[in-house]
Amino acid sequence: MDPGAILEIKGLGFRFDKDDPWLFRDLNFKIFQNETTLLMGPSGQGKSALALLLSGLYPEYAGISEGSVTCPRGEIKDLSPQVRAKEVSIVFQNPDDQFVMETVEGEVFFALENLAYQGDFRGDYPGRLANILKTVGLAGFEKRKVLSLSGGEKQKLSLATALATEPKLLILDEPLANLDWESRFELARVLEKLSQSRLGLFVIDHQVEPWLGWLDRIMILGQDGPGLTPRMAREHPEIFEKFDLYGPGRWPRSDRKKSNLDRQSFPKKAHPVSDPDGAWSNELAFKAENLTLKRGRSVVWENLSLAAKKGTITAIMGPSGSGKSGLLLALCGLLKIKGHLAVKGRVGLVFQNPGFQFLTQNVLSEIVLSLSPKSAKKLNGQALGLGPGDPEGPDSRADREISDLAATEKTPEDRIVERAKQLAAEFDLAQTLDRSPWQLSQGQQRRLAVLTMLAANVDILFLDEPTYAQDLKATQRIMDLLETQVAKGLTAVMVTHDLDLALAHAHQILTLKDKKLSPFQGADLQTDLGTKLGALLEA
Amino acid sequence: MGSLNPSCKFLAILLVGLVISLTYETRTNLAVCVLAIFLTLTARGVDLKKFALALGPFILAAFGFFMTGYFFADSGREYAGSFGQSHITVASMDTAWLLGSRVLAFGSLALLFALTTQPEAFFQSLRQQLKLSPKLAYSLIAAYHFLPVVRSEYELVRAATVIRGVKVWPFSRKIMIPMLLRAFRRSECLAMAMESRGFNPAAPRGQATVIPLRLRDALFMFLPLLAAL
Repeated sequence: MDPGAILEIKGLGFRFDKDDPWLFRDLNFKIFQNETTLLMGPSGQGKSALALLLSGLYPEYAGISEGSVTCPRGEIKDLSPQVRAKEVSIVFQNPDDQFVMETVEGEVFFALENLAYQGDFRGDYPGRLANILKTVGLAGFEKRKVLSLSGGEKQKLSLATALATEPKLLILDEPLANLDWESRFELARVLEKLSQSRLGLFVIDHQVEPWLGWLDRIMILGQDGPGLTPRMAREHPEIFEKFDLYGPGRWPRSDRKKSNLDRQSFPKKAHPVSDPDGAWSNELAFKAENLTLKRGRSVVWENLSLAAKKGTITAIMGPSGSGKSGLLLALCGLLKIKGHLAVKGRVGLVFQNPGFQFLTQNVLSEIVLSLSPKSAKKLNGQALGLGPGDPEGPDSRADREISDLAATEKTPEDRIVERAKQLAAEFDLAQTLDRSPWQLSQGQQRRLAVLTMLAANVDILFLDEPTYAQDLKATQRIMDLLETQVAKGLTAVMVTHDLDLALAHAHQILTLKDKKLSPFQGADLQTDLGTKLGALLEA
Repeated sequence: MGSLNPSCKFLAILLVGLVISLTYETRTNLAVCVLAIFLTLTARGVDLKKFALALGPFILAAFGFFMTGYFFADSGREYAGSFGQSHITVASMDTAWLLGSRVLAFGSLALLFALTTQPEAFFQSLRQQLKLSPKLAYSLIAAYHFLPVVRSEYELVRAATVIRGVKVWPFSRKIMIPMLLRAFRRSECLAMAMESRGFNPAAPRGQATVIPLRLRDALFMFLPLLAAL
């Protein structure tokens, strides 16, 4: 093995089942200490599986692998958890799924106890804890409950627990995906500092920009060779587009974005917020005045006023935990709130995690349910042409006889199925009609969620982070579909952390912060990106 | 109460519970009940409102049991009074008191433990003093922390059915299936996270916080025994 290498990957391949095609095969590369590597690749290519293989968790937990991942102490999958944790540790995308204990200190102690920590001070647990928390920027958080932390703080904590075992290599699976953009920059800065202290970093992300300043190499899953240097990445952004990835500059410069910025009303004058006392006009899709949301005794936000014109897109930004998702639920009428809310037409909501909003067992019935809940009840699996129907359905037999009789004529149900298939084709879901919604990829799930809402003929669509954990292609697809509908009169309100996305598509951008809603101001941003944008907006 | 070793407290309370389930004395039951409530109320950091709310159902149950005993047909001859058309014997009056006070005693003991013990300290103490296997102890802790997440997810899935205009029962298949799927994925992810932090149930572990076992813990354990004798 190469003396400087932490991991040596030889002929690595992986698939989930022996009947499945290989997700990837014959990967050969080395990871060195002091090196930060960024792994990119389109959705569904097995990036997360690769991360789990490198940390020795796959194939123990799932799948079949070939080839080897070797560290100086031997093959990574054969090591005991304690020995392995001293070599490689992993931070997952969703921090909520990786905490065992109730408090911050409990969580770090858990990792230390696992290794029967002796350390520099011979079992000085509090000393080591304070040290680790300081490294990740959580000093003073020892007694805080994990549940009370914001998304960014949670991700820092999972970083702290991963560091507690003193690994030589840290694997991070989209560590920034769940964070608002301020926390993103903060966490990226913590990681940058860590990279200077002999710790190897292997990062998976959809975006280059946060890492470009200090990373050593970019690997693209599906592309052969040793990978790109940051310089090559800057000089050849077209490489990223070839793989449907976000290149440097993050969001493609579209004409729409330019026209948005040119529009004289943007962003200062077009804010309905500044005009809450105006009379209800026919142009408005909804109007909310002095809304206040309380959770228990504490106020989440108060006296919010906002409105949106028909056929526009509104983006709501703001730090994690400021109650943005609550605002969407409130505007849909799903939460008890104080204040005045007037909504014209039907509302729909696309969840941050669309997996929660599917109610049937396959994609086709999911669409049919939206088109006509009544027909969905009448139609069983048989009628949908999806194999054996529900044998327990009391009327299934009678239904079939009736439909046999009327085989020549189209029943209303047939027409609905036809319409559903047509819609699925429009949303590029025609291949998935008989699959369970939960088996779809993240991108497909979100498209299906949007489709089911639009099929129900909603007039206003609320979207909670429509681009969360999506690659460029999937994001663009969703936004294109949305823009098409908006042009036809749909009103969309989306919560997003992606400033570039908001700038490219939204007619108004609002920031929810410190319990208040205010028009977005580029000049408020304090990062380089912010200053740049501020200048852009002022111009 | 709060500073007692949780395992000792648990065993002592369990013992008292055993003693009352083997004795048939209204006086003992009531004494245990009064003592438990007294200890709970004098313990540090007990939320009075929470206590009252938690005791409510027990009082209701105790009343229910009292009434059951009260109307229980009995062969006793001495009549204690009448209620409508039923005659209440002295014996059934005794049964009523016994049943009612028993429920109250169990309830107040349970609350004494629940309100004065930190769940995490209890799990740690089970591991340290009663040598519960780390695998089981940490599974319990993890499951305990899943509860609030499960609740918020339930609300989310309910919201989804409302927005789709689908009417469902509280435990409908439409709600339970996405939640179950999510729970499987979450527990798998958690298991992997634990392993990646070096968790190995078979290997020796360090102890960051030691739950102390002191003389007063032992005393508290033997107190109920003495009282029983």
